[in-house]
Amino acid sequence: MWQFDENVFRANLQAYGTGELREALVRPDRSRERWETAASKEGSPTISWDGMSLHSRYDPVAEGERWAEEVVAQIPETAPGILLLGLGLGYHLHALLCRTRLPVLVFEASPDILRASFRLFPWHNFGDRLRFATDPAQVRGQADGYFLLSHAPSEKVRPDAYRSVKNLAEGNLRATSYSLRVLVVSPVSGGSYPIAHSVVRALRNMGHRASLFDAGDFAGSLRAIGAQTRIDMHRAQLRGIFQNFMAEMIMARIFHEKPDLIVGLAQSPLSPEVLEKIRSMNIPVAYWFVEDFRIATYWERIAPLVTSFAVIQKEDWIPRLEARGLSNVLYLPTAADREIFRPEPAQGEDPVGFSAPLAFMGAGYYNRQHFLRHLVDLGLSIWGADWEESDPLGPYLRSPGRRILPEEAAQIYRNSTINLNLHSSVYHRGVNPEGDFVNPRTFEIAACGGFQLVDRRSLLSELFVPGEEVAVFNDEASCRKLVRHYQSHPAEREAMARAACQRTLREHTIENRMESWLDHLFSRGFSPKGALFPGRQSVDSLVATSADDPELSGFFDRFRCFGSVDLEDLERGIHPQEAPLSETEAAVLLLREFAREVGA
Amino acid sequence: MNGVEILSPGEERGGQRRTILILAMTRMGDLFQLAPMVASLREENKGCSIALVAYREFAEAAAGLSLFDDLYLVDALALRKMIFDDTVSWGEKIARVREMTSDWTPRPVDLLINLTPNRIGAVLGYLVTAAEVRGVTMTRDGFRAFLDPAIAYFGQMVQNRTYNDTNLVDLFLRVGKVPPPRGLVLEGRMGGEDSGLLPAGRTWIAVQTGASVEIKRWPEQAFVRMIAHLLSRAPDWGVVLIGAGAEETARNRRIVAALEDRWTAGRILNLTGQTSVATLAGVLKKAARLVSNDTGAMHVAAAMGTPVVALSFSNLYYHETAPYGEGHVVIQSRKSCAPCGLDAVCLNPICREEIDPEWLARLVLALGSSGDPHEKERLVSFLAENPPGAQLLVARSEFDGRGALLYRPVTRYPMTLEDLFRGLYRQIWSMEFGALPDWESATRLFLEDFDPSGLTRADWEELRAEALELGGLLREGESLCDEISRSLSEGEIGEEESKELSCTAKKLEELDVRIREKGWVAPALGPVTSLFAIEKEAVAIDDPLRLLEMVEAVGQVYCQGVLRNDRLIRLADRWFSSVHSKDPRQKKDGAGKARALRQVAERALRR
Repeated sequence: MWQFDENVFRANLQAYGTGELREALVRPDRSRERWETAASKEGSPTISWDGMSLHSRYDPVAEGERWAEEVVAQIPETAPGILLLGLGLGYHLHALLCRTRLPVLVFEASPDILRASFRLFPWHNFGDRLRFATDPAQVRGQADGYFLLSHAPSEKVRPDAYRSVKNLAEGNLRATSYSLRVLVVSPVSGGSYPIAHSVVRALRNMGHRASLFDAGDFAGSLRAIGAQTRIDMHRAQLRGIFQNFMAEMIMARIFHEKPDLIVGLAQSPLSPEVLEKIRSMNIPVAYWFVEDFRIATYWERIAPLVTSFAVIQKEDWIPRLEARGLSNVLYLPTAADREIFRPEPAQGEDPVGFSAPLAFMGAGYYNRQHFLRHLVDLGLSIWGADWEESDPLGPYLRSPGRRILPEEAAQIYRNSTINLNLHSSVYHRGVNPEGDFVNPRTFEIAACGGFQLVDRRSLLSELFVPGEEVAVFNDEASCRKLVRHYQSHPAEREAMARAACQRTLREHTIENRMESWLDHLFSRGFSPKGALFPGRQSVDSLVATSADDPELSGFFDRFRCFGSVDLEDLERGIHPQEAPLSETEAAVLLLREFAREVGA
Repeated sequence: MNGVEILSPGEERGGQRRTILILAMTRMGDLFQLAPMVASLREENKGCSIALVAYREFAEAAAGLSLFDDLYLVDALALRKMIFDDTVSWGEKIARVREMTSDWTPRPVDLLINLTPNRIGAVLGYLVTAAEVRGVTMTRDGFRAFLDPAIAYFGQMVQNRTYNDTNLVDLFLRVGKVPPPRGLVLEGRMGGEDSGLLPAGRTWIAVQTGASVEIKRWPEQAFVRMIAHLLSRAPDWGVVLIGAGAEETARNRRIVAALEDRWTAGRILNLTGQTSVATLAGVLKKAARLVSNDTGAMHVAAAMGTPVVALSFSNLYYHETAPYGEGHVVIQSRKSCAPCGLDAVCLNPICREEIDPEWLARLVLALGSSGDPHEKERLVSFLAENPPGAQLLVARSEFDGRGALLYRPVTRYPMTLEDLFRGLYRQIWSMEFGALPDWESATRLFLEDFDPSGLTRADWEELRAEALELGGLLREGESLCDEISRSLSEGEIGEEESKELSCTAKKLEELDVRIREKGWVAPALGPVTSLFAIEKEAVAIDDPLRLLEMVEAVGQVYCQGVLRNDRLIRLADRWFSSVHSKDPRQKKDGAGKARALRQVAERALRR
């Protein structure tokens, strides 16, 4: 039987705590809410992640032994070592190490899990034969020819975390092999504005170098234009000039950032003219059209000019696009930003101020103004913009006139008994019977662990299981029935909310979407082409030309995933706190400082 | 003796010379200002080998000093050009930089003195293996660390310039931990090569009209008028124009052209662009005096023992960069914007307009030839009869009781809080560098140099309240560090304790923000708050397993801040409580005024 022991942790830290691994081992847990340990029947601890156990709840030791017995037989005699993906607490690894003398490199994506395992097993007893990595970059070049083994529960629970390492091991260059420079262009305002911010966060979490052209900074200017004159012609002229100005800003930003890829959101100031210019510079643009194509028709001018056109609607539209000769289309539903929409309460949470027996959070569109009247006797509270106190629904408004921040919306979703999600329509009086795409709110409520009632949408059932993960209504009457039912059946509510939350965190995060999108791009031949910009040089070529100098070529090799590098990239790849600077690294820092002196 | 090897200072056992490497990737003026330190290092370490790493563009100046056994030159211009040349691969660029440093980094040295206060200096210093390091170096987490109190002081000096009166030469001497050199720095090394450029039979005044940027130069026409006045009043004097570079050559040609129709009898000599550093030293040695903008030539002259009249404009601050030695005169504007900030972009340099060229010419004449023992008295007398005006400062250099250079105003000015605190900080820094307090001398200097009557206790009270608050903040920081240390010492940290520690750490961060703001709100406290920030940054412990040690070191920084702040309050209190009663001039003036009033009253009564 195994038990957690701090002395074991210290000894492991002593043996393995160098460089980036040390930093991962000594920092506090950052995902504590996602995992928990519990005693198995046998007595040794087991661990679960997002509610799914990574080891047997009965006898994890025996399970590990069985696994090792099976896999050892598969290892070829010529294998120089073993690359194991997924550590969990380590029962399978320990059993494996007791059965083979081969060196083993273990990749575990979660430092929290690594630390937990380091408290349990005395890995230091295996000395240099055993190594650990928490970053795919640490695996590169360290496991050439190694036999690949996976800890299936770890992979199943967090497939994205291990995919890139698997690709590396199998020699597949994929999107996750690279750290791209991505410039995300947001709209000035509107529904896709927060999505732009979420995209940047997600890309950064995935290891890409993402930055945001925040057109929201100019929202005041656009409003001011509207306030100068009531003459439509002049307004149009002024807005045209404004658009040109934004175009110049974007181009200036592109030259500054030198991106490998530009991601545009719907309503962003990426006009056809700007897109033409960007296309002539050979920079790919991925455009996420998170709008209803029937209502926002500017897609006709945009879609042909971008490298990848991602949409949230399918059957009615994709065939139409393809009929126009557009083969760059991808169905990509929206998702939840798990940095904001998460089940854990936030600091300073107001569970009273942001909760209701029946909550509606959203703008006061036409259909909502009519539909919600049918629910006023069920404990209804309304938050959101474009509702007037003078409306019939005025008494039910909780923060009239105030735009609700995403963080506040998350509190509403977490704390309310039932969250009502009615997709907007400007001309239906309630549910749109033809409604297809699923709005971000569907994922956001689920990500917060909130229970939701959502109107029927044709694309909903492939994203969430109706009746198991979300409750679905067709009209006012079915909505009332469901509200009454679930208000008095808390266990059913909680079970559905939990299921929806787990599914969202597994499959419907912005990271999931970005990964799918980048995989799609790479599968269609995209690769970083940044070498066109001044100062950037191809990493492959740098490695090749410095083959005579192992220190230099080893240094460049750490940037393989960048594709091309400039001096800033080289500087960022140096971490003096991890190891004494080499001559090469010192030379890079000196070059960077000399460049800085002239403002570069 | 019985097989005992007696070593001279600077000599290593086994007969090996002590090796010293100086990293000075700085301006030419700084190179000259470190010359006294180097000379003193040689005096203190007989037979040592001293090498210098400097920018190639100052090679001639550095070589001309003849103080170094080896010179390693960094061609920054070529490096910068290469960085932006896309025809050269990053691999090639890196290889060239490695090659550049390979001349001097592989060999360990006994002592590294790193005077380059930026990351370039930090990285270069990191590459050198030295038994002892003084100055700037880089910590493992990639930030600068000032391992030397003198360099930390330098860091805060840049941010709080008007509260400093330490000359860079003295600062470098402190970094080098050597006393001022006993002899003239460059005597015997330079100055024998003037090749007879200055004809005998005249008293030559050297004039340097150039400076690194236009805004630091006295205007060309002002120099023309000054020289004209000088030559018209001193028939046996001549003026030699010095300088280098195309711009100075052109300027000085214009100056000569403007003057030579009046003085074609060889009284104006134009040596611009015709002298090496060694020859220049020889010329300056022969000159009676140098009148100069704040440039490297001043330091060469000072090193050759030639007195200087230095004109200090723009963001130059004479206390920092004026020539080293006794008897130099500096002229600086006292306008409220002078000296301007290092990041200021001045479009209206009024600081240059205060100096009347004729007045300056007469000042130079009043000073006479060099070596005149009554020079100071003549200067005082000249300024009494030809006052410089309230907006202009004339200061003269001397050494204080501790051998540190001090520029003292020649005429008495109304004391400002800045003047007072500059002096108080001088006391504090001296004490921190090991000197005993000398309040009597300090008070005497204050009263001789400034009229304190306009500065009352009320002026101090508001600032005192801020200083007391600052002391409170620093004490709170010290106490919070103690709290953290105690928790860490108690062993295992559970989740609750961990949360509490995070809260305490956050409080410390907030405290540091308030400390920093205190320095902004009350600039007179800036040196204390800036030095605190620098010393905190210099706590070079980044290993999470040495957290306790780090916290204790940080606690020491707060403690030092408390001591420093308390000392400042005590000294200021002492000044305000004692000086007004003791000021003999004020007593005298007060008594005189009282007498005059009595006389008026008596006369009135008699009528």
